[in-house]
Amino acid sequence: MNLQLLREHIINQYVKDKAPEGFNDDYNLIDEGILDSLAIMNLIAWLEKQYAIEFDEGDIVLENFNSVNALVDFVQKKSAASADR
Amino acid sequence: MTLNLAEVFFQQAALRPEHPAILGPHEHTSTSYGALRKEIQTLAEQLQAAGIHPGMNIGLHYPGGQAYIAFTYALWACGACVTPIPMELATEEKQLIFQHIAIDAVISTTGCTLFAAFAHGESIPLTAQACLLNLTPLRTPPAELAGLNPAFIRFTSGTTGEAKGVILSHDSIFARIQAANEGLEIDANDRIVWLLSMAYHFAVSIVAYLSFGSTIILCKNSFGSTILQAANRHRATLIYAAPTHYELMSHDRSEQTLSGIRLAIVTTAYLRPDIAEAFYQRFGIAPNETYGIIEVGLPAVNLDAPKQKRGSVGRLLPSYSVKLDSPDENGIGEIMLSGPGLLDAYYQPWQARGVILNQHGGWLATGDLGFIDEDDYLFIVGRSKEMISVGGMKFFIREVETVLERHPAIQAACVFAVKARRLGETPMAHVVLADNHEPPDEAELKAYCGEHLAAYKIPDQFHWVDSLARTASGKLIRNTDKLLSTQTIKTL
Repeated sequence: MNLQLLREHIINQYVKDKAPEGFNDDYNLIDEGILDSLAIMNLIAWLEKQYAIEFDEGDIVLENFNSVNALVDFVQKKSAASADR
Repeated sequence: MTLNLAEVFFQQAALRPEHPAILGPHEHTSTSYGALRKEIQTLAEQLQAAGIHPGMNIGLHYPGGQAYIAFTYALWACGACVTPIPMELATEEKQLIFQHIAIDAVISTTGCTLFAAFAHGESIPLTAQACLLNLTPLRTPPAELAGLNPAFIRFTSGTTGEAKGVILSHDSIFARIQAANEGLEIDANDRIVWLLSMAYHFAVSIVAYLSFGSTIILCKNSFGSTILQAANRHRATLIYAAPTHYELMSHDRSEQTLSGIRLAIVTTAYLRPDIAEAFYQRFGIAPNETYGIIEVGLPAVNLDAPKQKRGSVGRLLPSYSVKLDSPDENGIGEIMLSGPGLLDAYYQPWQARGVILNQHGGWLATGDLGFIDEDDYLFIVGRSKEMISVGGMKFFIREVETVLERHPAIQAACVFAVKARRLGETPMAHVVLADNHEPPDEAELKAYCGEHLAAYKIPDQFHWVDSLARTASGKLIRNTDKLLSTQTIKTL
């Protein structure tokens, strides 16, 4: 998957003018207030479309949204699971 | 004597200084009424020393939380009015607020450079994370504003010529929280889980809780497990949340239960029946749907039949009246309301309450469509205004179309709502290519929209069409079913 695309999407759509110092792929998107509940729902819709995956309700947990890296890990696992089916 | 909501809070703080006002967001964080009063008074002294005085209007550009509450009340204690500037808006949308509403200063996150162009003087630190910037207002305020005792000006972006900025006075907010509490019956025994954006929800919620001596529970984040932990740890009696939060709680896999919840208030958007059922099955609590509207307050709550009358926002609370304008053969008409604490005025163009109500014989036309069943329960079925609600965040369609039509490759745009599983609705756009241009790809269009619009307003899909569908009289057709069946569309 394209990590750069996901990173750019998060910055363009949700970071906007907040310009946090030290933003990187491990930056905590939840604790730092980048993703609120509406943003998470929006992001899920984008991820589902972009990567042809489907979130189960139980997938919407903190561990999967903590950082860009966490999102990448989750999407990769989900994509692999879809491919196996 | 002029009513001030900060004084109302100070009276509560004097009555119960040790009582918790705010619990959370961290596990052991607790702020008593007395401590919150001190925090507010200290901030008010700082603000007064910085020149904030009665009659000023101050922008508040800060994340929701205890500091947001303290800043709002401190500004009120100074006699100033507050204009929330939601953090998630695009820079251009924030600038629009300053163009339409006279704002004398702004409290913002430290390091934010957004307001530098309008600022004069140095930024004045208020806390480690917040500062005050004095601004040169881009316009003069309406002459009638000062006489209203304004507490909030809530900017509502709209189409050209539509009213922008809802003014709520201290008196109106106080009247509407009293009216709401005839149903909610919030008191010092209540502990309320808070999950919404304070930039959009504050009056008949935060102000009500602190005016009636109850306790606000803040959560670290909005995941189901976190909400349930906070509710249980702090012995919540009431939840005030959007459908999304109920969905996340319903599908949480931590096996936590909920006890002691007497009201599970749903606001901002329609609650899907499957979410209501999942929440009921999981926790044995039927969520209470409500009708909240910035111009009115909280006129209806489904208090007594949330399960039996699922989908209804309930009967009108005792102080409010409702009628339906021009009902069709199914009894569906525009919802018209009257009651205490209606908005004081629209800011631009200026329209005082009397003028607004006189247009409809003393009623406020909500723009919402609904029907009333045989037991007097109100059901909301749609909107007569051209708006979209994405996860409860409402915006005017024309606002998005205007941005799209400024793109050089787009000659015309029509934005409409499509149903979405988690967000209720998402925007979709039909766009007509301008002469001598190549169509930009979807990523480019979304990036362009992201520069001008908050993320939730950006169309999920763009379809290039040869021309926009119109009625015989030339009006744009926004009926989703008709538009999606159009044969000429080319999906990006």
